[in-house]
Amino acid sequence: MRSKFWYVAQYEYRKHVFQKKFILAILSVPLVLAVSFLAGFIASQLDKNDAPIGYVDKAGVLSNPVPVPEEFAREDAVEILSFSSQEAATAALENGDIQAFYYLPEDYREFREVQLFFINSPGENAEGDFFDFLQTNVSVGVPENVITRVQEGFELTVRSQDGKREFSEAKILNIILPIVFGFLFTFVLTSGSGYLSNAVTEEKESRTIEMLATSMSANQFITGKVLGIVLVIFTQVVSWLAFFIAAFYGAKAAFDEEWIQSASIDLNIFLLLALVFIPAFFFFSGIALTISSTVTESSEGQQAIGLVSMPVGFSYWFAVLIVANPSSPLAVGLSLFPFTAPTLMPMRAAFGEVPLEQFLACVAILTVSAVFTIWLAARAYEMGMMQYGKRLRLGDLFRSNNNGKKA
Amino acid sequence: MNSVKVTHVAKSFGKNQAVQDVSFEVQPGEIFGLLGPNGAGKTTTIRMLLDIFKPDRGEIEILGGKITEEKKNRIGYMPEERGLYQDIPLERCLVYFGRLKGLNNQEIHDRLGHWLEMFDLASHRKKKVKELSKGMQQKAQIIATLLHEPELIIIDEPFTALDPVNTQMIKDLLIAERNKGRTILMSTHQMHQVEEMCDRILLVNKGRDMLYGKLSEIRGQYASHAVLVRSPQEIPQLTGVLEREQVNGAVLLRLNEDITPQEVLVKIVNQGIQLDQFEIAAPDLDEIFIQVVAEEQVDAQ
Repeated sequence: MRSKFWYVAQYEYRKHVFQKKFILAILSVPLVLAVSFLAGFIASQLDKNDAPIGYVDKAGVLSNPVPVPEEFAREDAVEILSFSSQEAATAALENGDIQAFYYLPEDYREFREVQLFFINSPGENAEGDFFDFLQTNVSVGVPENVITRVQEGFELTVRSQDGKREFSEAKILNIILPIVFGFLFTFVLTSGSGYLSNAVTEEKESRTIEMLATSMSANQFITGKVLGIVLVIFTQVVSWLAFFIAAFYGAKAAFDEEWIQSASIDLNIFLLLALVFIPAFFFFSGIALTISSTVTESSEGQQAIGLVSMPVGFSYWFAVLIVANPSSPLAVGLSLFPFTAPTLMPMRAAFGEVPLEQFLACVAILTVSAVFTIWLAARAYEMGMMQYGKRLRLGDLFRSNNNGKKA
Repeated sequence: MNSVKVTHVAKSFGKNQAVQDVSFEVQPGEIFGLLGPNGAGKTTTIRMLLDIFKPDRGEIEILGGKITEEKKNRIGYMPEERGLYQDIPLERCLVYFGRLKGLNNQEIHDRLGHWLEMFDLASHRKKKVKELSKGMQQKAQIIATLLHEPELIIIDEPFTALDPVNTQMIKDLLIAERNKGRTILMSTHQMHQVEEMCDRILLVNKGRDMLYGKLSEIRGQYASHAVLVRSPQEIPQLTGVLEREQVNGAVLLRLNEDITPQEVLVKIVNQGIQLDQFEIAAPDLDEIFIQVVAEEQVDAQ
């Protein structure tokens, strides 16, 4: 037979997850992302113009033009038309035959400056296509490997002195993800404060607490509650993560943009985040349940939990210091402190090298803190459970008394 | 082995002495009444039994020793503060409580249908608890108490919010449970409701034992030397009768110490008086309680 805390966890999980508002909360984040993406896409489409673009070449760079090699050309590149004079090009522009034209003066080879003539701003796509065309033609006669290198552009890679850490454009997600998930942690904690603060007050308000107290121990009940709530939060986070990964690989399949194609996710980052966030969620849930057990109404609990989660938000005040020097004593201290560790340890890992022993210490401190807060919550529940309408003070939890069950 | 053994327990909350000195034993297979007015300390005593509160002093044994997590599955408790989850369907609520009492899925589903049918709740099983009437919720609470077939049933104020039909149904149910060998500890301030059900009682007032023992013995102890006679005819003057009093259409005859009720009966029958009722007048529990409290106040003065 399963332990009773599993049934409590299962009940708590079902109570929250099979609710319309929970499903809406899960869908809200990808929905906002999708709307933002759609808005961006629409904006980029509005910047697109497929009409031909012209040029007048007085420098002789494009006298015998060669097309952009297939591997670098866009599939739906705009047509590029040559004009013998500025007047002819202007006439075509005014006639609407072209959206704009470039003028390459005689001294172009010396100064590398061109002029762009247009009535309405040309599409970004057309400007990009002409840039590729011009780049191809000025490169004629240059060795093949140099041209290919120029076409590929540059990639800046920054390595730490010991070679263990490196930043590059392709791995930018490894820097962004810990920060994004730090924010996500704060967001989930804030948005989840509703069911955290309700966790025990519901039993007080519905008077089911006596039924539960005579069916299992306080530890079983609180452990089940915490587990259930943490699983609810994980469901939310994992769902968002799944949306993120699906969107990432969907974007890779759908778009040829170089930065998307070259982007990659280091799974170790997820492992690091999981090792920090899992005990952190138990830690904060334990605190929330302690508060929930000591107050009389859920609204009071929600306010108190808001106060407790403030240090998580405050941790971002130290972000600049962490980024500037991820190994400073302040950064190390804050990344080990349970209230700020969930946001600052991933940030340190993103911007610097975190020694393994410090990382393990962070996980250990969070785990021990989580066990302590869950114990505290069980004690608060045990002592406060029959005090309907009466507030239990925090000091009472550490004081021997006879009002509660245990002396 | 007693099902419950309470020895000189006391409990206070701050300056309020809820229980001063209470001792009693509940024997297996009996209905035991923990009786007393509101605020007498009954609920606090029950909460101490169930390990919700720790007594300040005294000893409690339940099912042969200290309460354990395993024993909680053998006890059915219906608290005075009825508690059901309001926002979930009735069936899910009862299944949850059944699970917490150690039942598996199969056992719950085998038993729950029977109970829901018995209480006319089968058609309401999918309704949220808050959509049920108070009486229905009370019946649901009783199902939650009995579903796991506990050895010891502890019920605090069982008849609150029940109409007369359902009150009788609960009485019959508790008697049936007792007949199956289960022990029932029932606490109530409605003493008249439990007189015919309890084998033994403890009467408490202001946190102290007042009367304890077999109900018949207690009533005998407080019985005045009188008989209650009901007849369609006039009861004539009888020798040995000190005074007479009309009580609900019957006549209460208070007797001289020299005469027995049997002798009075013979005299009435010999005079050819038709009798509808003849019984030795015993006070009900309310009367006994008032008498005991009055005596205590006199003693205190």
